[in-house]
Amino acid sequence: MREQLRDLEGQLVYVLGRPTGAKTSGENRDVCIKNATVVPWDADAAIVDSEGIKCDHLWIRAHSQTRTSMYQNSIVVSRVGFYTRKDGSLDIGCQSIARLYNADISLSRLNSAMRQRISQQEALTRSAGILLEIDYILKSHGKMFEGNPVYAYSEYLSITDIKKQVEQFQKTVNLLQARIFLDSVPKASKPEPGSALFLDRKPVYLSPFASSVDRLLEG
Amino acid sequence: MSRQNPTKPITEVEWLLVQNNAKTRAFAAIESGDDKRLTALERAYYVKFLNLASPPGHLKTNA
Repeated sequence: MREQLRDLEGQLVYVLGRPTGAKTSGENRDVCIKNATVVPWDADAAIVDSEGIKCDHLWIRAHSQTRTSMYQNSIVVSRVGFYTRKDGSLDIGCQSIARLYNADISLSRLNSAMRQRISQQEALTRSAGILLEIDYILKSHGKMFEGNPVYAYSEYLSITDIKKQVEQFQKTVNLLQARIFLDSVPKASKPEPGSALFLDRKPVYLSPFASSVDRLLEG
Repeated sequence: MSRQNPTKPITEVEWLLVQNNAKTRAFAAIESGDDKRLTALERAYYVKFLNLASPPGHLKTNA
C-alpha cells in the first residue's frame, strides 16, 4: 500500500516519471510509471518548485487506448484514488483525467519567433498563430475538450505566470502590429498657416439634406 | 484567399496567415463539434488539438 499518497486521496496531482509497462484493461489502458513523483496540482506554483512525493512505481489508468512513450520522461494530470487488484486487495493508484498542453514549448516558440532574423511582418504573423493556440488552450484550461478536459502545464512557470506572459506577448504583438499599420498609412501633408488639415478648397455644407456621398450611395 | 497570379508561390507570411486561419476554424469546429466542412489543413489541426498529449504525455512535446 502506498501510504504516502493516502493524504492525497481524491486530489488532483501531477505524476512525473517514466512509463515502463502498459496493459490493456477493457476500454482503458493501465500504465506503470517507475520512480514516480506525485506533485499536488497548484495553479500558483511551478512543478519544479513543488516538493513531490516519491513512489517506487505507480499505476495510472488512462480512459482510452492511448499511445504511450515508453521510458521517456512523462507527465500526467490525474486524480489519486483506490483501486482493487485481481486478488481483491486494495491499493492507491491514479486515474488520468486530462489532456495536456506543454506551455513551455509555446512560450519558447514565441520567444524565438520574436528574435529570429525574419521580417517583422512574418515574426508577428508567426507569433499571432502561436498566441492564438495558447490563448485558446488557456481559455479551455480545465474545461471539457471532447469529453476530456485539457490542462496547460509548465515545468518552470505556474499557470498564473503563463497567463501573465501570454498577456504580455499579446500586448507586444498588438503594439507592433499597430505600428506597422500606422507606418503603412499615407502621411498627412504639413499644415500651412491659415488652412486646416483634411479640408480642401471645396466648401463643406453642414445641412440636414443628403450629402453628395449619400446621393451617390443611393444611386 | 484569392490571389491574382495563381502560378506565383505564396509568401511565408501568406502561408502563416493560411495556417492561422486554419487553426481558428479548427478551434471553432472543436467547440461546435461539427467537423464535416473542414479542409485537410483544418482537419490536421483539429486532430492535433483533440489528441493533445495522450496521457501520460511526453514531457517535452505537444504531440
